[in-house]
Amino acid sequence: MTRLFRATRRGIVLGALLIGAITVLTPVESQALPAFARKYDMTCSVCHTRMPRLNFFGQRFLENGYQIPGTMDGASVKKKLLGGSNGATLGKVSNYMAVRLRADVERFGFNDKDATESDDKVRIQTPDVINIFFAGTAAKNISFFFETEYNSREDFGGIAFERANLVFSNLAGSQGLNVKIGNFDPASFFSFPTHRQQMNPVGPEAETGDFPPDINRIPLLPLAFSSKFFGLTRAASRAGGEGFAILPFEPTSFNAPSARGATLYGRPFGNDFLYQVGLVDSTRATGERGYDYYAMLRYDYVRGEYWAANVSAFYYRSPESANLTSMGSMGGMGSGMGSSMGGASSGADNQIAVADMTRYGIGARVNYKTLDIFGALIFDKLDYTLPAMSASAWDNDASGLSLEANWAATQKWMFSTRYDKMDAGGLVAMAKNSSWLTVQAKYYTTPNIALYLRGHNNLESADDSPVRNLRNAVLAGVDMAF
Amino acid sequence: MSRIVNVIIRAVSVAVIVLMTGILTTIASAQVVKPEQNAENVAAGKAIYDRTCVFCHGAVGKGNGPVAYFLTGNMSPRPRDFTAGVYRFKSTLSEELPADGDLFRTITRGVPGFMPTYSGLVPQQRWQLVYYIKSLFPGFATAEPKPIELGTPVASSMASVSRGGIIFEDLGCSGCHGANGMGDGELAEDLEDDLSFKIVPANLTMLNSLKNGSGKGDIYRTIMTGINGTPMPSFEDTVESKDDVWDLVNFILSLSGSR
Repeated sequence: MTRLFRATRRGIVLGALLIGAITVLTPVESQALPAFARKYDMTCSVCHTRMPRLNFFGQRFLENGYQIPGTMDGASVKKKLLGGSNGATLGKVSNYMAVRLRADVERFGFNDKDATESDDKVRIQTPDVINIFFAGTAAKNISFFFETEYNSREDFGGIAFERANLVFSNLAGSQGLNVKIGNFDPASFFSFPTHRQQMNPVGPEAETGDFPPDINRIPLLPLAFSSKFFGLTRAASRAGGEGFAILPFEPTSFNAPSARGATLYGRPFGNDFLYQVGLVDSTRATGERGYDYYAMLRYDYVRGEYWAANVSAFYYRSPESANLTSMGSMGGMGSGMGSSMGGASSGADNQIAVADMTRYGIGARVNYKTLDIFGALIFDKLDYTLPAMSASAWDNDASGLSLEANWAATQKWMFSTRYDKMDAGGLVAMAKNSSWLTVQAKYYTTPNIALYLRGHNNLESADDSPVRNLRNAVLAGVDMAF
Repeated sequence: MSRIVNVIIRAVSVAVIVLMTGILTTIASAQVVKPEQNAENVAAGKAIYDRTCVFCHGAVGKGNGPVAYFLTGNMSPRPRDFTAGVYRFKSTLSEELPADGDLFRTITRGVPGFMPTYSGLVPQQRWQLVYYIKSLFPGFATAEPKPIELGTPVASSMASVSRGGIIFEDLGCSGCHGANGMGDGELAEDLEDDLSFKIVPANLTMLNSLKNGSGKGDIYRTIMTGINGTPMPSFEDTVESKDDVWDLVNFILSLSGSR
């Protein structure tokens, strides 16, 4: 414990020194502005509480297909018009393209270092995650978004295609109907969107090719988004039909980072209510293709004195989404999983049922002056048919709660905290609840460059499960967009 | 036969008249870009306001929308309080309310850095917005704001810029804007606006920091009317001639290499 404490302290001191040094050395008068800010000659904070989270104006800008709320200015603002009044429009590439860089120094502390292959030393990840975006309006009411990411944290590392979509806006009068087609984040309009985190998610270190999955380190992200079920597998084309374990911490269904499909949304009844319905491509537990469907409704109140709020609720249905997978004989399971469980087996050998998955939840957000508080309570449910005796070994319900507060104390400093609680479901013998507390201090040298120091602390007591092995984590890094 | 021809001719004539009337009506309606100021257009303006302006300027125009603090924190500029009748960007003298065209111009152009351009709204919508904003301050009902005369601009030349540089010093502009116009004058650190928020003088070497516009006429107007609610005074009573002001404009533009 003392060693762990010292290591954590070293991490904090290192981070503080890094932030201090860069704070002193960085000029504060820079006017660097990312793509949309460049296009409209505006500071980032017109749309962001602080980059990357959107404020209530920025949300409407996103909804309106990257057009100023209440307008349909896509074809004209700050662009050249080629070929007369009805000609094509062309803007500067810098008005469409943005780059986001993240890099950090990480220190993970484990209860039992011998039980994990994860590196517990201080490690420098530079650059850690690089995103390149192209986004903007191609014409009036037609916008596009493309994002590719290099992420050295992921197991499959390297450059990956993330999201790409087209939005056709204002199809049924102003705000009434908008259509988004392509790869997108279904929860982008939810009160607590999956992306745009002030505390960037840290990916897992795990092997999911075998069952149970070999978890060396769990990811650090809002647990409300996690799949929450232990003992599930899925056949997938990338696994060659052999099946792979679904990590209980994996953001999924409504909170999948990217899904391919179409979504319709709009405000046909005025400014207060936003509806969204969608259909997304999905791989069934059997490996076949299918479609998930979902609906969301959000109510916005933006007429407060220096405050605004919204509440939202969603329902997401994924038929035949996962295989229930037992550990050989149903009664003979240990309490742990992964490396602590001994030999792994193929998930395909022990699949006992195909389950439908349903996710539903509520979210809320309140802004007051420079305080941004939001949260999500998300429930997951498995539906399947099993003999009564076997069914008792499964918990079909799970839930997750994530609550976050960000306070921009000054133009330069933002302080954040998040509480996460996951009541796990699935195979009872494997399921482990999880709860974390995260705190972060962020210093913005300019509106688009932030230095941060962050600490994650596991609130659950240690046991022999790998999902409880990570005790804490300290990260110091930089997050910049230009 | 001739009756048939006559009927056809009459029919064609009627059709042409109807068509021409339609075309002329369309052209005429397209030219009516400033609608009448009446309750209907004020209501239409409010509907636009609730979709576009409410986030910063607040539900009733007091400048207290949910984004106001995120925008600049405890710094100036803050979103305008339309109920107070204090406007910064206008072509009228300090004590006067802005002209309709001033409000229209700000809506159209936005404020560099802090307010987007609303040129995506058609002119009629922008005028409706003007009328709604005016309805929030009773003083507009009786006001008769008169834009100042700009006179004839003095062409930029070495001589004009040189004269402007002397006027820049004589008027004390460098106290706030700095000797090189970079917004770093000796008074710059201590400036506050009328709401006691810290305010930074414009960096005259970067034209996009000129919130009231960076055209020659814009700068002339700013010098003559000042910017209400900020430490930037009106020099209308200080300058000796309009030509002096145009020389000063030429000097200011020269600081960014754009004379």
